[in-house]
Formats: sequence, structure tokens, C-alpha cells
Amino acid sequence: MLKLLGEQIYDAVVNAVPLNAVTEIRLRRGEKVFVKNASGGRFAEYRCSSEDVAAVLKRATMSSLYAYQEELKNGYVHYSKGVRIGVAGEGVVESGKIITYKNFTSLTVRIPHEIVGAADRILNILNPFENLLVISPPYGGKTTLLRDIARILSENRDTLILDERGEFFAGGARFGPRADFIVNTPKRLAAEGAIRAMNPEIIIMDELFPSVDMPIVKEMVSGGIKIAASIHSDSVENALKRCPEIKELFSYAVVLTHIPRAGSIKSVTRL
Amino acid sequence: MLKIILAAVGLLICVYIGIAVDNYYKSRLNILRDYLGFVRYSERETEFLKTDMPALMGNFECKSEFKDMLARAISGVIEGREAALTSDRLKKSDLDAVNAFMKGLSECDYHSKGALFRYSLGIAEEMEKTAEKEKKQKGELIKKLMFLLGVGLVILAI
Repeated sequence: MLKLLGEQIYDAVVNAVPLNAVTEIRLRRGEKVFVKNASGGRFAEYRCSSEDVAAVLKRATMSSLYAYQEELKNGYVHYSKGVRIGVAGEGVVESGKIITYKNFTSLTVRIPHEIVGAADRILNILNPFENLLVISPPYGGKTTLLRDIARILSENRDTLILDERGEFFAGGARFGPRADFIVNTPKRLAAEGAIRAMNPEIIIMDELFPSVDMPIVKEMVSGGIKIAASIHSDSVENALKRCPEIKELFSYAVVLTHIPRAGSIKSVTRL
Repeated sequence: MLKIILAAVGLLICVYIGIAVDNYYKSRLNILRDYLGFVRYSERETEFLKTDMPALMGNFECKSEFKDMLARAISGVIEGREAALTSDRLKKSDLDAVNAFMKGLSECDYHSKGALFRYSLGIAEEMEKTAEKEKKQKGELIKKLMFLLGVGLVILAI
């Protein structure tokens, strides 16, 4: 983290929140650094300049912005050990599509934490495994839960993890001996080849975007592959409104909340 | 006898100076040739594999001092500093052009890198041509002249 943030921001962050508890660092041009942990957040005593934002991005991309174009188009860059950096600034639009961002104004550094045992409370619905959807608002801990589900399932089933944003390897996270990974590749691009070539029993996917990803999920389910996935929403009802197909495709929905802390299970519903 | 020995020593010194000057121009040309190769290599690698700068700099193979120049600058690039290449073989204007390319590469995005490569390739080719011309016109000429000077010294002494 010191390498990424530079000495001044790093010192301010660790003075605000112990580093091993930090889950998110927000750098905004001209504003104080904001640091979050699982139960809240606070401002650190350092005001970010535009040079700080540029320097962190430069270190994150190892001075190779050109190599991160696909990620930038989607508003983030990945850093090592599952750290993801969201970017905000001036979008460059061509033919109705964002092709990149420039003049970066804010960065959101998300630091994933592996919590072994996060899925212990839902062990009874993992064996025998049926299609499972994790529903969570942003910052609810869905990747952490999915990562632990992947760890448990890959102990004795061929489990393919479609890790679109390189977040599953948080700090060198451990998985079972039957885990396979396709990393930093959009789900819709990886899916077809993965199903044919890897022949998985279970596929794990984070952050489904219904209009883009549901056709892939349908294809997988109709091909007899089991799915564990996550989607942004705050309740089963709202998730169903957003995407009615969920009811047909998934057997269980686990709803997460960030109250009292990220990763808290609100409900487990049979769909 | 002493005169002959002194003349022989003078000849050796002149030949040595001539070879050293020629080597200076030769190694400068080799560095600039490898720099041109590096620009071409970077263009290919960044286009197809989107290779990042530290990997570009570490994986580029060449025989001249340019390889060491790149190796010395890698850690700075990883830490987000400018890739400042240094060499006592290059003229300041050449070194500035090389460093301007490295700076441009560290700042460009996928869409703007095309213009950087077009511009830098033109400059690098020009620098290589000039270095080749100077090697012939200055390096080889000085080597020959120094040899002739040494021979002249020997003749005078005898």
C-alpha cells in the first residue's frame, strides 16, 4: 500500500484507521483523504492535490496508462492482490461510447479482505449446491462472501471463477485444489470458451449486470452448469424488479447488508 | 634509439586516441540504433499485448549500453517516477529526445500512443542517420588522421 499511495498519504491513512482494517480509501482532488473500514469511515489529516491523484494512478498503472484502456473504459484499474481503483474525471466519448477518462479528479482504492469462514453461516445451502445469488448493496461484502463460497466449493467440485476485475485474489486468498480462474476478462467474452474448454461443474461470477450478463447465465444454466453469482440490490423484491429472470435461474438468494457491518447476512430466501 | 622509442610510443598513443574516438562514435551509433529498435518494439508490444513499461524495458534485448540504461531506470518507473535514462555516450539533445519518448510513453493512453510512436520513430530514425554520418565523417576520419599523425611523428623522429 505504501508503494501505491506514497509516503504522505500512507501515513495519513494509517493514522486514521489501522491499515489491516482499511477497506476503502477515497482520494478527491482538493479534499481530505477519506478512509473506510467495515463499520464506517473518517477523514484523514491530509488534503489531496491533483498531483497526488495523478501520482497514485501512475504508480497503480506502473506508468503505463495505455495498457489499462479496457479497464479505464469501465471506470477502474486493477492493482496487485485484488486491489481495485475506481476512477472519476472527464470522460472521453466517441460514437456514443466512453473510450477513456482524462483529467482524473477522484480515485477510490478498494482493498479486499479474505475472510475465511464468511460463508460458514450458509453452509447448509452449499451442499448439495443449487444456483445461488448473493444480493447486496455496494459495500455489502458480496465479493468476500463469493470468494469464501468459491473456496468451499472448489474443495471437491470443479469450480471456475470468472474474475472480471481481478478481485478474488485478495491478499493471496486461498482456494481449493479444484479451482480454475479466468482473470481480468469480461464475463461475456470468457463464458463461451470457458464452458467448452474448461468443462466446469460450478461457475462463480461477481457483479452481474442483468442486461449484459443474463443471456450468459441462461446459457450456463441450460447447459447444466451450477452458478454462484452476485448482483447489486438491497432486497430480493428489488432484485426481481430489476431482473425477473432471477426467479427461474437461481434457487437461493442470500441478501447482505452493511449494517451493522459489511458482510452481515440479512436473509436467505428460497426463490 | 631514444628517438625511435619515443616515436613508437607517440604512434601508439595516436593510434589509441584514434581508436578511442572511433569507438565513442561507434557506441553512440549502437545506442541510437538500439533506441530505434526499442521504439519499434514498444509500438508492437503495446499494440498487441498491451505490455506495461517495466516489462517493455526489462524484456528488450540488445547488445549496446542501451540495455543497461533501461535497466537502471526500471525501478523509477515502477514507483511512478519519470524514466530518466542516463548515458555519457549520447549528446544532450539525443538524450533529451530519448527521455522525451519515455516520458510520453509513461503519460499517453491507448489512443494517443499512436501519435507518440509516429513522432518518436521519425526522430529516432533521424538521430540514427546523423550518428551514422558522424561516425563516418568524424570517428573514422579522426582514427585515420591520428594514425597518419603517429606515422608522421615516426618519420620525423627517424
